[in-house]
Amino acid sequence: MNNLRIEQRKVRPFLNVEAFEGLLNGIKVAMNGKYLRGEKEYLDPAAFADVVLDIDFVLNPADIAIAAKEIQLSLDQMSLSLIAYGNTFKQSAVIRSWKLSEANNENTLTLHASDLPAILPDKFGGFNLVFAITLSKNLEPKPLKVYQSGTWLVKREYQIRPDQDVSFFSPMPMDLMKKRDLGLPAKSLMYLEYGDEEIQFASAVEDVIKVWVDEDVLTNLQNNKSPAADVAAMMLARAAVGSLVEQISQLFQSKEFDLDLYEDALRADAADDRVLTKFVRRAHKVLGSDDWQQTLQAIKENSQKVASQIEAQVDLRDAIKKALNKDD
Amino acid sequence: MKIPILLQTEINQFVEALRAGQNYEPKVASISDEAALDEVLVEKFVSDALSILKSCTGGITKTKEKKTENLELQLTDLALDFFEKLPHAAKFEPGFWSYLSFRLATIIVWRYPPNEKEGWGRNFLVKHAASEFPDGFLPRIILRGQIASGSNEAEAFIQQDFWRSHILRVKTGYSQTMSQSFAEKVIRNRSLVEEQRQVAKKIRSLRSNIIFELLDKTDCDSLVDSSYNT
Repeated sequence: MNNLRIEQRKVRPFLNVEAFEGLLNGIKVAMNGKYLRGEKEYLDPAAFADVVLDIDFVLNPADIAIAAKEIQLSLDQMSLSLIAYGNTFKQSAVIRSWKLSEANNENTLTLHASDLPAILPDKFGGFNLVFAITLSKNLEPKPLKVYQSGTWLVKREYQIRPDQDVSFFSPMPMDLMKKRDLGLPAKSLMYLEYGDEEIQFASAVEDVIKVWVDEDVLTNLQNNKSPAADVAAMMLARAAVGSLVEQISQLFQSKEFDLDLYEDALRADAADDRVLTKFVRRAHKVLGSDDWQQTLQAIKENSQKVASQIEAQVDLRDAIKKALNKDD
Repeated sequence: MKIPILLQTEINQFVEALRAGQNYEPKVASISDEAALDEVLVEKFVSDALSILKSCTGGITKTKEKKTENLELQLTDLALDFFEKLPHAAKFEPGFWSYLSFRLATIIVWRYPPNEKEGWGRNFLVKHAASEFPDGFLPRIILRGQIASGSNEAEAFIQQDFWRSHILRVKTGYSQTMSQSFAEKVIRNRSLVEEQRQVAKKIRSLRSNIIFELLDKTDCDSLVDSSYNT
């Protein structure tokens, strides 16, 4: 690895708007009760239809006033807006927009999927939420000054995407230090680390198994479009999905696990956020089965066949790309 | 009725077979939905769409361009009405749109004859490396209809290529008002392809600094005008 670091920065054609940077950091969004930490979050496709968003609009008016002064604007010339975007059918809706000079008594907002039925239930393309402080009226055009209404001074975006691929094949980049932590030689290319959580209870695949892959190998796989790279990526997916399905198959074969009861819960479509159920639902869809019993039996008795059918559906390049963007 | 779907592997094979001029009968899977999908609605949509193809593409007196306009205009009305009646679970299920694309493959193939370009499969919602969101012939028809229906002028007679390249596959499409302003201007100015492309580029560039969704029609019209004049 070389030590070159590349950073992308947006250069905007206005003077001093950087004074607004960070002014929206106080805004918090929780999805189904959990605060969003990153700009991109993944949600089980089955959960989109019932998603709940809790939003806290926490702003510091004094800081905003100082930033506004930097570009000779007053608070009544600016608005805070929240816009939602549904990606599949390119839908958008301005959910809230108010002038910063006007008292905002509504500091919190709760949205359910049914409040924006054309946007929030979009389990296909997912949805985006954009918070922005914008110019609220047109001003006289001047070079390097903000003058067009709708021009954003600062914005913050959350992207919510379906997690169907990331759930079962989620390779983690392994650098030298990580190899040392895991007690591996520097030349190790791949390592399966089994977690402490049992498959029966885990809500994240990484708690059951982590697939560590040498970071250079992952970068090469992402950049290399050759069939050989695709085959290598397939092998990684095979290791991850194969191991997971094997554990589920063993669970189904154990006497302690009540398969009939589990089948009833699946049929009733009971809320269940476990990796186990996400995997079984995925297998059900991939197998094109109408019968839950058939799906459970297929996993129990023919686990490798199910694994290979699920592997064939995995978007390997996307999974690797996500791995490279993910912090451990 | 459960929601019929085609998985990516099935629609991929179907598209490859079409390219090779072969027959392939994809395996149809299904997913359940609490708000059941009306089978009569689906079958009527498919049969009405195929009738439209037959009525619009017959005869030797019209050019293919004219036939395409008629086909897309009539399909747009039909698809919009169908879309409004669908349960959300079907609307946002890519496999369902792939299934419908398979059922209406004769229409898509007539409109876009098979070719070797990777992007051709996108008409059937085959996932494409260039785009995070798979798009397709049918979703495009619907979105275009939604945008055009909000305008008195932006009739859908501009062929899908304009919409596809400059509105639907780019972020401009998120703002229906801006899309309407642009389409109306294209119609009024009788813009040719190269002019459309240049203006579309300027509009996309404006979008990186302006949130179009916050603008009213007058502001959008004025931004489109300025994009034509600079």
